[in-house]
This record gives sequence, structure tokens and C-alpha cells, in this order.
Amino acid sequence: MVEPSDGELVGRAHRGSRDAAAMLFERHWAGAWRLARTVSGRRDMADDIVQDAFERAFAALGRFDQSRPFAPWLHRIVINRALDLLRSERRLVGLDVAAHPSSEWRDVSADDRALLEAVATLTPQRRVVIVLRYGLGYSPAEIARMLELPTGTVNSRLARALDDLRERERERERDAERT
Amino acid sequence: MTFGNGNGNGSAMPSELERRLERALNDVPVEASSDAHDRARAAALTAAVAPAPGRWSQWRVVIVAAVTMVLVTTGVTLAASGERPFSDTATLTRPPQPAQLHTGLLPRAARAFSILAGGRAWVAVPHRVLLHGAPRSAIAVSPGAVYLLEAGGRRLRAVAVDTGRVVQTQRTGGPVTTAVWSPFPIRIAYLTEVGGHQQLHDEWGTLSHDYLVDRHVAAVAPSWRWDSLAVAYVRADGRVAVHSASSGRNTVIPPNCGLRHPTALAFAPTSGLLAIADRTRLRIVDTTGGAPDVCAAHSPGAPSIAWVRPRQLFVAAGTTLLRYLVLRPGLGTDTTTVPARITGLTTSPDGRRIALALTSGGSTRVVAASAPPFSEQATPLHVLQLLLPARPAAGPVTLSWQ
Repeated sequence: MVEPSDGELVGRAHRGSRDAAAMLFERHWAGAWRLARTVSGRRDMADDIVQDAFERAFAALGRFDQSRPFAPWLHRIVINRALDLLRSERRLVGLDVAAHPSSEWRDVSADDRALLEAVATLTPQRRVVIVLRYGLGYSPAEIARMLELPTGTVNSRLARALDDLRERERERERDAERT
Repeated sequence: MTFGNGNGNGSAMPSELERRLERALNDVPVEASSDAHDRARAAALTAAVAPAPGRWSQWRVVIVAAVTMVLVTTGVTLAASGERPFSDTATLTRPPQPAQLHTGLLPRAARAFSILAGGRAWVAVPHRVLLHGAPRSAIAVSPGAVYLLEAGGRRLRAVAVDTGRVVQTQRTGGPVTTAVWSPFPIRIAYLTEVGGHQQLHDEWGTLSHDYLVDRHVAAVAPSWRWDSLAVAYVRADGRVAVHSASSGRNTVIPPNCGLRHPTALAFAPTSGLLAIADRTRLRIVDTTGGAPDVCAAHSPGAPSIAWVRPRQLFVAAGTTLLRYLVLRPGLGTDTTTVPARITGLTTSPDGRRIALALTSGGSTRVVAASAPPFSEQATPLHVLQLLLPARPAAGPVTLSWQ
């Protein structure tokens, strides 16, 4: 049996099929959660980001161009929600908050954890392109279309982000040698 | 990996780094909280099948300035026409009349909506208005809108919403001032005034097995925890306590954050987080997990609290609607200002919309609005529906949305 495409599911969901909407949700929820988690750097924030993103996306299915892929559209909404929430941190009240999102990575190797923590220290703009490129496999051109940026800007951000990560790696190695 | 690193340092590191990034990012475990998937799924499916506000009634969605002008005009028109401010024609002593539609009282897609303002009650369900300005001291619609609990004098009674039949009546020790159903509609907490003091009672949803929890409490609506096993309340001395419905024990929460005489409290929808507010400050206490308290200030005024997500809540006070995001650690916030004093606040079950009672010049109106998105930018309040036109009421307004 051939699985229906995202476009078919979008069309059926928009016509009122709850089953199609549910199938579309199940197909994309985990990926969207990982994206929200890695872009925001916060596990507790990811739940709300993904819920908001799915609500917005599903409420706007009628405006979605079914000839285009669904995932990049959803992922863009997830990223926008995550960045909105991260920007709101500038106006934090109450307790002090760390300059960078806390990682709290669980169930990952020590090496991966160090790398993910380094990714979490990148600026949000650089973190987004890193996650889209290496976590979701989008090409720079696809990322450029998704974020409405010139491809050169995406390549530049990727290069700088990789430079930043290499610098973090060197710092970590120096720290390890000292201890 | 075809993406070339642009730094030109000739190191083999980038390709190795890229491979490691691919592996690490692809192996990120999904560590969502236990209910996050189901909650998001339910919200998404609701959004998918519900018509979007923009398609449904774009003409109603206007920015607050324009709406304010309309509302003010409405109020002026009503006042000038000399319309009777209240109507008591619909009561629950006989079945409600299906033909009597007041669709303005019911927000779109709501199962029930109730307003208690100035000792008058309005209750609407789809296709029916159960109460329209009827004198009541307390009302509460049960989760699922199966029963309406209403209080008048020393009598509390439960009415079947679909038939209007009175299914149970209870005599109380004094006038009932507040009644609250638990999230699973098996218990009721209510306040009654006896000998000049407010008393808190906990009883079964059948209006039986009445238990006196505390003889001296403040006149603040209690709040049930999500599991219906505990209810938080404010004691007469201003301290907040949590009553366990299973053990019968009352646990006092030690004071913190400089709060004095809280006037509002509300449990989060799926956890033991309890928001407590007095006229200037907000405190969020983890009553079950032991996480550190979160303290914040809010705009001066009598506060109303409404949670819209497990870690997001609104606090309305004065003319300001503050939205808080509970982080670990810290608290994010944004602000929406409205041109009237907010005297009541509630949220739709999915957290996407809110209802506000807005009071100015001694009159109160109730509107439904979309919940402002959490954003750094100032977001105008999008009013979707005028639920109750201007009425002469100046005190706090109790709103409930099922």
C-alpha cells in the first residue's frame, strides 16, 4: 500500500479529514520537536514551540500551496516560533537567566553532548542554519528559500558557525589537557 | 557532505566536524514531556478542522483601538436607549427554551460560557441561553458542560444543562459566594459566609459528603489541581494552603516573594505549578516537584490569572495583560495594554483565545479575543466577539469558558 504524500494529506485535512490531519501530525511531530529543541536549546520550551507551530500550520492549511513540500513550510514556522521565544528572553523578569540556553542533554554520548552544547552557544541565526543543514539535510539553497535570505548569506553563516564550533572544540581540548 | 567550508584553512577538521554534527543532530532524542505529544496533537487537529479566524469572520477582527470605539459607541447607545439593564426571564426552574437565542453570549466553538458580574449571571451553551442576567451569588458549569451549579441564598443546586432539570439541591450554612468544579467533575469546592467569616467546603459532585476544609479563609476563589486530588485556597491570614482531597490534610505553603494577602490563585493545567498573585506581585510555586519559586511583579491592581499552556499564563491587572512563560530558570514575559480596566479573565480550553471583562466608567463589557502570540513586538489585542454589551457593574467579574 502506497503511503499518501504530504500534499495529499494536506488536501484531505483541509477538506475536513481528521484522519489525514492526524497522519500528517504523526509524520512530522518528532522532527519538528527535534528542530525546536536544537534551535531553542531548551527541552521545556520545545513542547510549546511545536504545539504552537502545529496549531498555526494546521489552521492555515487552506493557504498552503500543495505543490510545494510541507516539511520546509512547517519547519519555517517552528523556527519562527523558537526565535520569537528566544527574543522574548531579553525581557526576562524575576530570576537571572544564563546568557545561553541551558542544554540538559540526556541519552547522548559525551562527545555528542559536548558538540550539542557548543551548538547551543551559537547565536540563534547561526544555530538555525547549522540545524537545518546538518540536522535536517537541507541544502544551502533550500535554507535560503526557507529563511528568505540570499544563498551567500546562508553559506556565510554556515562557515562562521563552523568556525565558532571549531573554536569551541579547541577550547574544550585545551581544557581537557590542563586537567 | 558537499557544503564546502569557506575558511580556507586547509584543515581536515570541517568535514569531520560536519560528519559529527550530522550524527549528533540526527540522534537528538525526543525528550518531550509525557503529555506534550497528545496535547499538541489535540490542538493541531482542532485547528485543522476549525475554520481559521481569518476565513471565518475577518470583518470582526480589528485592532483594539477600533474595537474600543465600537464598544464605547455600543455602550452609549444602550444607555441612551434606556434598555433594561438585566432580564430575568430565563431561569432554570423550567427547561430552557431552545428558540431563545443570544448567540453573542457564546464564543465560537465553546461548549459553555458563563459570566457572573455584580450578582447577576449569564450562562450560554450552544443554541441556548440558560441564564440571562439572573440574580445568583455563584455559578459554575461542570467540565463538559453537563451540569450547572448555581447558588442563591443558602441554597446550592445542580441543574442538568440539556434539560434544565434540577437534579440535586443542597442547603448550606450560609450564602455561597464561590463554587468551583474540579477538572474531573467529581468534586466541588465552595465558599460560604458564616458568622462574618468565609468557610471552605469540599464535597462530592453529587452535592453530598460535604466536608468543612477550613473555617476561616479569604474570599478568593479556590483552584483545583489538574488531577482533582487537591485544591489550593487562601487562608484568612493571607497564607496559601493546599487541601488534599484524599488525605484531608491542609498543607500551608511558606510565604515568599513578598506577597501579602493574595487575591488570586490558579493551578497550571497539567502540573503542580500554582500561580499566586496579590495586587502587585506574582509567585509561581511548584507544589509537587519542589522546583525553586519564580517571583515577578505585575501591574498594580486586582489580578486575574489564566493559564493557557502548561507553562504559559496570563495575569491581568489594571489595564495590562501580562503573559508569562515559565522557563527553567526564569520567566519570560510580554505585555498587551488595553484601554479599560480588566476585571475578569478566562481562557478557552485550547488556550488559543481569551475572554476579558473590561470595565470603565462604572460599566462592564465582556469580549472574546485571540490570545496574543508570545512575541517581542507589541501585539494589539484582536477582539473577536462582543459577548456581553456594556452593563452597569464595577466589581470583579467571574468568567468561565468550557
